[in-house]
Amino acid sequence: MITLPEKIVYGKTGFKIKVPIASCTVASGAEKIYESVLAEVRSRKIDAEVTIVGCIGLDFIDPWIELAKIGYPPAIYANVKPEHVKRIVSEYLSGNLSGAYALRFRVNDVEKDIPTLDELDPWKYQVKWVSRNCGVVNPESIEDYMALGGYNGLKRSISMEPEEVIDEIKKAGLRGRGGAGFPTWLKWKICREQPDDEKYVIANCDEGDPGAFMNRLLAESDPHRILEGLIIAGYAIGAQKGFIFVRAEKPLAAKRLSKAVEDARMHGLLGKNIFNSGFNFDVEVFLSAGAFICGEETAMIAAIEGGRATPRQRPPYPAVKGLWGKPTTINNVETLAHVATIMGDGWKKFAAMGTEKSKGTKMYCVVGSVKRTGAYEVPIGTSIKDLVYKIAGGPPEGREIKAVQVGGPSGGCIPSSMLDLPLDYETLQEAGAIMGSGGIVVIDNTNCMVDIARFFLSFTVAESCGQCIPGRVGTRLMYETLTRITDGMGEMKDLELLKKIGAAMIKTCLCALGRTAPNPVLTTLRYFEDEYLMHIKEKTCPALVCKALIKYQIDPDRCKGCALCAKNCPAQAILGNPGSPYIIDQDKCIKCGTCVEVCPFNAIMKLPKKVLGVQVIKE
Amino acid sequence: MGEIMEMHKAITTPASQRMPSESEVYLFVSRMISKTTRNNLIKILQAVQNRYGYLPETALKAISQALNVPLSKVYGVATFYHQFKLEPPGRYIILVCKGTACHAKGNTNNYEFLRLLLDLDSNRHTTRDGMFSLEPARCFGCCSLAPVIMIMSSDGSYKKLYGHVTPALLRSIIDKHSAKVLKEVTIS
Repeated sequence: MITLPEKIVYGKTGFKIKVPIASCTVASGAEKIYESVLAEVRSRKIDAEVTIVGCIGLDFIDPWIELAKIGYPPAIYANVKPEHVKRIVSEYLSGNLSGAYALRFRVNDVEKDIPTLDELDPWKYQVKWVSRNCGVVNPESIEDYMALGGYNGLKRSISMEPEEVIDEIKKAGLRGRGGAGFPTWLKWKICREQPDDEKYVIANCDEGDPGAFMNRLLAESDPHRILEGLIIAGYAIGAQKGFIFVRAEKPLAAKRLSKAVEDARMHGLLGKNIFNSGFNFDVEVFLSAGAFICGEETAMIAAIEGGRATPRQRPPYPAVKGLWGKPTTINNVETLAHVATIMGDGWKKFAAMGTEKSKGTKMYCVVGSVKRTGAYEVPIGTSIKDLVYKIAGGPPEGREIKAVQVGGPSGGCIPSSMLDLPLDYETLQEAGAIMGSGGIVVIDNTNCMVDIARFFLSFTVAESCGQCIPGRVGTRLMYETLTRITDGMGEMKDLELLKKIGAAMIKTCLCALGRTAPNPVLTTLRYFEDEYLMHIKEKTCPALVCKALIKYQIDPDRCKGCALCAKNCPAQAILGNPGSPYIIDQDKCIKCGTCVEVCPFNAIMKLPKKVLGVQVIKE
Repeated sequence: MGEIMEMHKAITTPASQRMPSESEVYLFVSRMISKTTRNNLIKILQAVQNRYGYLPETALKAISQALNVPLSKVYGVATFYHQFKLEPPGRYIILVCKGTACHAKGNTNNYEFLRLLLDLDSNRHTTRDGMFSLEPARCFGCCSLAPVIMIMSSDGSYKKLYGHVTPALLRSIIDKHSAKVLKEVTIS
């Protein structure tokens, strides 16, 4: 636990109300809460400082607010609605904390019934290391960041020789947090050793994995940490200019990073002769127009140069020949945030966490079928089970976890029987997945694994840049084959075909996107072959997901003839007369499920449907 | 750095609803080109789209002439990235999240439902009356509300996110917004 300075906790006036303004909390209505809080403070004429903060990572409590007045414990209120604000403020000020979700820390024993964050499962198993400031500081305030030791790492780095900085990162054992886990120090060293005078460093904030948002969270909640890491990287490799590559679709992250850059420049942390060291460095925020492939280093370089983001053959690696032909280092923003923390705290604390081969902590987003979705930070090597059950609370009542998908479209599905696996680069690779950016999607028994594989392939088909044939045609062929299977038209030889295309893509695709695109298919084939076989041999989808293999039917005993389903059916597929049971015209039905949802009598059932006209293939 | 702040300002200022005249587009493009360093094509296209809400064909031609690069290259970049639109968006843009969590909870079905409801297909993304545009979106980062959609006005001044959406809920959301537009039109 890092003790927070009083000013950060209670503000200048001794009473601080924090409202998180980040994409996730805004989506659940935090802007209205902010206005209500301001109105409440004004109407009560209290001298409170209302401030924005970033996201705390506990998405299931969004939107939340935190009240902290000297003498009282700082209290966090969960799932706040604008109309709650009045009551929350008056209860808090009268010392009644019973409505609070948790306390940041205790001041006395009175409020012992309310847990502190450290006592709660989703918090106590985490190690808030690189995300320590998220939900604590005002992300638009460089003063807040500095009050918590910000830019000390930069100051220390600049007092050292660049080689010493690289050596410190080496001792820390930091590996790239963007996917492959390449040692950061080595990337820097190669770039530093190039004889060119002109060099560049790029912060990769082009998060595109569906289901991963830790980079956005970090950029929106603690942008200065990323910037500090970027400046240190620039110093270490000898660059004069840095870029932060962020999607235009993430306007808040871009805005806060831009503000951080401007403030840093005003404070002399960017520009000429930083800390009187003779080191000149400036940073530009580059708004990407959005393409998943930009996450690939050479594609990102092509995008910054202004063209189509198509990867090129490596070597030469960007460290040798990158942006405008000059040596370039590209680091993920989480990696850079770790750099700032390592240089600020020293390498020892970082290296004390994690596994033998992979040190430190990693942020993961746990979404899908869990009680507590959110972004969590744990030491590398923590088991999937601990993350999914202890922190995220396991599946909702009545559901059963079937698999977890790790690493997004380049990752793989790991079956529930293997959830004891530790999350580290090598173990995941052996299991057929990758660490990727750290997105973890929990899949339960209501999901079909073939459909999930097909979903990921639809993503890579849409995102393939179209340049190399294995990437362009391979993803398309796999997608079509999977569609055949989910349509009930699959044959046994399709499984061999999928494996063959997958193997060929891994060997021959130009870039990592293509080489990893088969992973979701190959892992589901490896661990859930029975589901594929059910689709092919029995022509049924066990989870009742694949539309071609199911049908909706009205139970005449339960149907009261209210006509609600017929009125709501978008395809006019439900026929009948009021008062007597309705029937569904199977030829017209588009299987959207609207009728199930609107029926007040639970009279509509989802059933397996045997596909007509297709022979069950004999073995 | 002034450039990026200007872009943000542009995002929040209303996009012009009318069809811009050719001379206006040429003037705007040449002004933007003089402001952009290294003649970065992506930045110029972003500026044009922020101004007009989409990339009018005249703008692509103007850029090609002013930068002396083939129109095919400009078109190639404009069609490569998700952000760029070649046709004007509807009054309301419906963004359907296609993230993994939303897919697992039924948003692909919701997307298909909306396509049918609004009579759209793979070539048509905006309804004939110009009321709604349907677009897939990447994760909004609020997976705890999955499946989610967002409805925003084309100028970005109105934005609303709906969580736990179902086909029946979508139908009522569409009806509500259609009624709203009708009301606005009759008032004005």
